[in-house]
Formats: sequence, structure tokens, C-alpha cells
Amino acid sequence: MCIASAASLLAAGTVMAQEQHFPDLSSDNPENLPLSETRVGVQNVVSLLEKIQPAHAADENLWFRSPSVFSEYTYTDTFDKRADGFTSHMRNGTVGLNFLTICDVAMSLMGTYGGTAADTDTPGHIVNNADTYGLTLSAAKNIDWFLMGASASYNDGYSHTHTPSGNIKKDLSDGTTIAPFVGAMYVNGNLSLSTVPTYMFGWNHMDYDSTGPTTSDDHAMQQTFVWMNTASYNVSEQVTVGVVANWNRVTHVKKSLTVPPVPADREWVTLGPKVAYHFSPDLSVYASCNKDIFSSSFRTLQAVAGLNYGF
Amino acid sequence: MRLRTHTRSRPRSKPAGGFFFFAAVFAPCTGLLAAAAADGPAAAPGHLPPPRVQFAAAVSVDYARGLPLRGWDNTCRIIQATLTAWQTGTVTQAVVRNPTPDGLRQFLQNLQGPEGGIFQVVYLAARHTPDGAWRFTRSTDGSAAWSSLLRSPAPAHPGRLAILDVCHAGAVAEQPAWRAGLAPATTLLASTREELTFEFDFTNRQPIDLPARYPAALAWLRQHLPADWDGRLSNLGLTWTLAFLRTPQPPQTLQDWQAFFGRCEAEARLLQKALGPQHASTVSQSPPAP
Repeated sequence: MCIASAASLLAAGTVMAQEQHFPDLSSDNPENLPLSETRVGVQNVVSLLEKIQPAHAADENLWFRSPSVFSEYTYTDTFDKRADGFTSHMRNGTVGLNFLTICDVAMSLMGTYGGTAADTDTPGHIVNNADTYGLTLSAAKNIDWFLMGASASYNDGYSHTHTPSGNIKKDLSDGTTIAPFVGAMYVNGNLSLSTVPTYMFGWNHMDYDSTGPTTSDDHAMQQTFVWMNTASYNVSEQVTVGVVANWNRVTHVKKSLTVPPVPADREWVTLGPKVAYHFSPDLSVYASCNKDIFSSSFRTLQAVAGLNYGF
Repeated sequence: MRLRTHTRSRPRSKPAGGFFFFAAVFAPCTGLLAAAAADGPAAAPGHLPPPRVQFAAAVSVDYARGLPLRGWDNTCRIIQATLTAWQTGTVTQAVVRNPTPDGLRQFLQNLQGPEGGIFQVVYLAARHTPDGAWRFTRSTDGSAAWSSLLRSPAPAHPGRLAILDVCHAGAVAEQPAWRAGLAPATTLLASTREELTFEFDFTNRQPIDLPARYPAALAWLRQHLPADWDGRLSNLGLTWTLAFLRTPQPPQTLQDWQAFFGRCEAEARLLQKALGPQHASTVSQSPPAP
């Protein structure tokens, strides 16, 4: 769920609160765009660190080396099991550039488009469509097995909400996410392991369609702990298989001022396999499928496909 | 290390053991002498003939920051092992690991002249800056240009064969300090002026499945390297090994060595063709073989 959609769902929640006295069900959705961006950014820089060549000195003249571009498409299907919850379909498209810079710092710069369509299953359901554009910069540095870094994202979006009364609300939103992390990685022959605890600080600003009695501006804040774990193994020169296991926990939420909160999941696990096929050392495609488990409020499935090209 | 020895015969007043004793003891000795005389300059009476190949190496491995150059440390051992396997009578003069700037200067100045061997293989490996300076393992030592390292030139040796297994190696071969200070007959370079060079790992199937593509090289390396070999070697070390396996007879002359270096170039080209320039470097010799 992207920030825009979160905002729009907040708006939708506001509408519901106004029109049907329903609580807010929106920003509890665990799979949102900042989380997705942070995961991709962190995984990219860690993967780059795992492939550093020892003779390539952290030289003052080597600002840009081992570059690669990638594109990734993600489809996320989320079903809210709670009453009046939003079922959403999110499609993310990401393009990015990964490279190493001075002092063997791994960098990942990426732009993301997220489109979300969500609706409630209740009679007279609310339909929400949101588009969000995001920019993410991630950086990491390792000292032997220890690594540390940070990822920062900025997202800007808008949404349309069709309310049961037939109104269309157009809302704007923007948000910033900062995610510092430390972790460990281990590479031995064909096996690569990494474990990266990350703490995400997210700030959202919503500018609602100012019809009705609600305030037109609102803010929300959320802090999430994400412990990302990956393992990959080179089966052959062409094929790499892996598994991703992320433990997520929302540690702090400051909701919208205008919408009352509702109980929701505060922790869940994302688990899934990943496979990559290398046409050459420089060109590879990959796919993964993730499922959120141990979630009582949501049922989420995610499919990812991507392409990576080094030059 | 393999040292050639010979035994000088003493005249005896009375043959002991007759013809068979003579055949068993003296004939091989005279054969060795004849072979030594045919291989190189005649030994002065009372002196051992110089070994054919002398080996010396300086390798910076354990950097205070960044990954250790284990592949280059192993390549040093691989080159030693191949010289030994060729039975060239290789003598190792010195292998210096993690030299300081003064230690590297001393190593270069202490290289022997022709008295140490007909050919002298000098293997040099370290991190290297684009402008052609050696990076030392201790961060406080920084880096030093070859003009500084070779301020006092090494003793001249017409059979000196330098192997520069560093990034941006091409930048060094063009430097007057290299030509005048070390004055190698030929230099095998691991990369061009612009290029970085790489480490390969026989335990990792990517970016290239070395055990599947080069099983003979893996078998030879397992047999001839210590059991603690971790499967890593440098780009140049791999091409050297592949060229060695295609060269059963040891190089006898400078032209033979240039031809062997030419095989290293060819193997590197094949590797680069398979992997692309992002994963394999250009191996070349300077000056180019005639």
C-alpha cells in the first residue's frame, strides 16, 4: 500500500467515519510502498557488497564502478479480513541504478511508480484509486562481515475516492521515510547469507479534498522494525536460488488527527522463495513470490519479477 | 624449491667395483654435468652452476581496510608451483608479504643479477592506483609511486621477467622509472592502464563455473598447492595456470618465455570473451612479443 493510497484510505476512512461512523482501516495495511522501497533498496546494496572484488581499492578516483541498472515489477494482492476492510491490488514499477563508490560504499538510486486500486466489500462500497511516485536512495558500507547503512525515500501521490454517497474526493499526499540499518553478511563460495535489522521512520502529510467539516491538512507518523534475512545459493553458472524471510513489526503509530484508530496487526512475517537466471555475468532476470504469514488482519500475496544488467 | 646438485668425481688409484660401479655412480654425474653445461653458461670449476630460474615476489595481502588479496597470495604460490613442476631448477630468492614502503624498496634493490639465475621471475601484486602507485597494507603507509620505489635501481638482469598483477598495470609499464629501475626483459601485465583486475574463486559457480569449465586446472592446482588452498586466484593466476597446462616443456630462452606470455594473453582473451570486460581483465606483455 503506497503512501498516497494510505492517505487516500485515511481519507476514505474519514469519509466512512463521517458518513457511516466506521473506524479508520487504512494505514494499518502492512504492505505499503515505503516498506517495499526500503526492502528493495537495502537488498540491492547488500547484494552489491557481497560481490565486491578485493583488488579494487577504495580509491579516490573510483567514484563510480560496478554499475548495474535494474527494473522490477511487483504485484501485491492484499485482502483485509476485518469487517469493512479494503481489498487492494498494488502494482509497483521500479527502475534503478546500483553502483559502488569511494570507500567501497554501495549505492542504490531508484524511482518507483505505485498504482493501487482498493475497495471495500460492504454494500455501497468505497472505491479508492491512488497513484504514487517515489524516489529512494540507499547506501551501505561493510567492514568484513559487519555492514551498516541507510535508506531514504520520498513519495508523492494523489488519490480518488468514490464514496457511497456518490462523491469523489481527490486527495494529495507526500511522505518521507528514513531507514537506518546495521547487519551482517556471510559469503562462502556459492552461499550468501545476510541479516539486516532496519528501523523505518515514516512521516506522511495528507492534503484532503476540503469538502465537509474535516480539516484539509493532516499528518501521520509510523515507525516499523523490519528484520530482513536472505539466503542465496548458486546452483550453477546460470541459476541462483534463494529465500527471503522478513520479520516486520510496527512499533509506533501516530494516526491521523481526524480519524480514530482501530486495532490491527502489529507484526507479521514475509516469506518467499526467489530464483534468478543469469544469461551472462552481466544480464540476469529474477522472480520471487512472497506471502505474509502470521497476520490475523490481512492476507497478502506478492509476486516480483525483475531484470538486472551490469555495464 | 628445487636445487640442482652435482658430485665431482675423484681420481682413484684402483677401480672399486669395476664397470658396474662406474656405470651406476659416475655416468649419471657426468650426464648431469653435461646437461648443466648445455642448459646455460659453463660453471666455473668448483662452483655450482646457477639455477635456471630464480623466483622473487612481493605481495601485499592483508590490508587494514577492505578484503585481503588472498587470490593474489595464492597466485604467487601457483607461479612457484608451476616453475617447480617445469623442473627449471627454480630457486626462490625471496617472497615478501605485506611489505612496507622501505621493505619493498629493499626487496627491489636486493634482486640479484644474472648470478642468481639465467632467468629471474619477479611477481609483484598489490592494490594499485590508477596513476600507477603501490598501495601498502598499513593505511598509514599510503601508496608510493614506482619512481619512488625504484629510486635506487635494481641490479641489471638481462633475463628478468616481471609479472605485475595489479589493477591499472598498463600505467606502470610505460613509466621511465619502471623501464630504467627494474629494467625487465619483458613484463606480463594483469590489466591495461584503464582496467581493474579480478579475483576468481573455484568454490563459487558465478560469475563463471570454473570447476566445470577448467577441470584439468582445478585438478592440477589441488594436486600441487597446499591443502589449505581456498580456491581463489587472480585473473592472471588463472590465465597463467591455463597457459602452463598447454606448455609441457619449460621455456628455455627469452623467446620461449615471450611465447608463454603470449599464451597467457590468449587465455585471458578467451576468458574476457566469455565473461566480458566487467569481470575479466586484459593480460598483455610489454614490450609486445616480436
